[in-house]
Amino acid sequence: MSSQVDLTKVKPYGDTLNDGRMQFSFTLPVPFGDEADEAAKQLLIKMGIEEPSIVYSEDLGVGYTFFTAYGKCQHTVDYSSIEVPKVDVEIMDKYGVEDFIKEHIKRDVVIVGACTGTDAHTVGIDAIMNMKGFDGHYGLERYHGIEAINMGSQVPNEELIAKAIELNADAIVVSQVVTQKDVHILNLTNMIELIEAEGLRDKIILICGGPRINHELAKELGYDAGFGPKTYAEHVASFVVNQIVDRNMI
Amino acid sequence: MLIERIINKYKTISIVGMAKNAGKTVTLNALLDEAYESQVTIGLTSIGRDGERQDLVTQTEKPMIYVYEGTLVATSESLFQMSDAKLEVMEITDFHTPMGKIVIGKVIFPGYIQIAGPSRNSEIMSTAEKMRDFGANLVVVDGAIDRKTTASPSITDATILSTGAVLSRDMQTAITKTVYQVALFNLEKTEDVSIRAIADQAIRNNEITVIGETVKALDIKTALNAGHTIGAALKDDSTAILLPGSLVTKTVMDMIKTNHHYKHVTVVVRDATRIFIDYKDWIYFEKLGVRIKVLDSINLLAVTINPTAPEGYYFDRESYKNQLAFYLKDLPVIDVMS
Ligand code: B12
Repeated sequence: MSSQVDLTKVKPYGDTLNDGRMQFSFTLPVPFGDEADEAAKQLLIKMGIEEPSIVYSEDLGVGYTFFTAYGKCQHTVDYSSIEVPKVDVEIMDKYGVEDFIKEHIKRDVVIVGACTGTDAHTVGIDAIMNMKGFDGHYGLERYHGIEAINMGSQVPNEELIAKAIELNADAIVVSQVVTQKDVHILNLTNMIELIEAEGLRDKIILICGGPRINHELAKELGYDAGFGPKTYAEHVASFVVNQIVDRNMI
Repeated sequence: MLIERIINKYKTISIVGMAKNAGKTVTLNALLDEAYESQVTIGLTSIGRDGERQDLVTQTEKPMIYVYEGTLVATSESLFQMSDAKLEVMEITDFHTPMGKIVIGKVIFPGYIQIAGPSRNSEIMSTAEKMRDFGANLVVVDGAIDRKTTASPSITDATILSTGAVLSRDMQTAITKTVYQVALFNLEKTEDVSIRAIADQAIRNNEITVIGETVKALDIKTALNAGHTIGAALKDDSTAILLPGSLVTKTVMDMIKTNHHYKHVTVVVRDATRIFIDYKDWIYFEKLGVRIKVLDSINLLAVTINPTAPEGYYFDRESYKNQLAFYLKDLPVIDVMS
């Protein structure tokens, strides 16, 4: 961060500080032409963008046009007042986690997971749990000292909990991708309520994840941690093994 | 006044909602004002997140929370520092939440505050006790979203239920859902002393137990996914089955499919917060002769209503309130928004 930047009034940077320059790209369902460019420009003005210019437009066929545009943003944000709660744990890599388990826990850590309720998206939970992992980061199944059970998608909360009880799991990890009409919220609170009803809450680490989940939301819902986009297995594993030690669950 | 029904009777109460935007926070503010006028020192905590201007889930405006001098609060470290009210630290607990450790403070200068207390039942109980030790006459545990476990008599002594138009665009549907929830909270308690005696042990050992001529603990750790096993364990002489944990629709469904003996058996659960059966299934089970009772009923003090939904629609205030009051008989129905 440059020293002349006023962090209480941050604005986009183009080629000089505080010029507010931004680039936009979007598609409108209108035929390619001058009227299309004008429509795109008017839209940007309505968005509060000053001096919009359409620098590129392309006919997508079937009456649609794609645009690239530049313009100046007039707004600022106070960066200095921003505080985003994050999972507060030192992230270890796979080998670090494995050593940690060997040294401090001295038994296998059991983690069961699923994408729950009506949600059918498996890619997120697979990225965290399956052997091959995601983006060059191995999944939990590959970790020595971790027994990872991925139950797949559209798993009812009660089945996930029953499995966790059967296996004496240390952690339950839940994926929620669909958030329309806040279905994920009700599904996630139902999970917590069932776990409390079963008298399990103190014996289990509860984690939720998904593209629209964050750590702050996890608190409101009663989870121990929430993970959003760009999460890898090592984030979850580091959190779980530390919690096992901190909460005396060894 | 709500507070009159509470002071000198209960030490800890919960406010639970049927849904988000049912008016929990407004109910809480009304209670805080009444408590101040009656010189009751409140200890306040929330299992979710309260008092922030904008809702995390719906991005809608939320009511803020104003606390008076002397009030005790349990909230997370990060919100403690942000509060507008001035607080003296009484204790930094070991309870962790994703927003930091839980701190107990005493208000020395009144103002607005954000509350995010412990969310686990065991930690709520211990936090409530701490606040009472620091001088709170009454601890109020505010709920989150649609969570209701804090209403369990094992956690709080009495409960206020908040409900509103947000439940459904159709007023009758909204009323039915609320009336059903109240019916669950008021579910009949088993008075059978022998069952109650056996229940104590069953709960302590977390044993699903069938009572008949003999008392038998089943070899299962949970009733979830075990309805068939439970059904198969019921015999001619069985009179009751004790569940230390939850009771969900599927468990009942599998139990009745396996065995007709359920007809002379009472299913006993600890309290209504352990029951996860929706209204339609409940009616169906009732028709088939399924009997469900609780060990402890929930002390419901009042139902508060919010006739306006965040989507913009609203119910006619008077007829909503009157109809609900009609079904709920002696229970006070309070329109907190008027
Ligand atoms: C692939 C896909 C599908 C596939 C899913 C196949 C499968 N086996 O998973 C199919 C075609 C079946 C599908 C169906 C639907 N989909 Co779809 N789908 C997608 C798509 C294109 C990619 C999702 C994905 O795989 N991402 C890649 C993974 C790796 O990312 P991720 O899930 O975010 O996971 C990461 C993190 O979030 C986190 N994470 C995720 N889970 C967990 C769990 C834990 C414990 C932790 C720690 C971390 C964690 O870690 C992961 C790795 O970093 C998205 C759009 C998009 N580009 O995102 C839409 C999208 C998710 N789908 C959407 C919708 C609406 C649907 C349908 C309802 C469509 C319909 N009308 O029928 C159905 C839903 C069916 C159902 N019942 O759930 C919407 C959701 C909108 C919303 N906010 O609710 C999206 C965003 C598309 C859109 N823009 O409208 N979909």
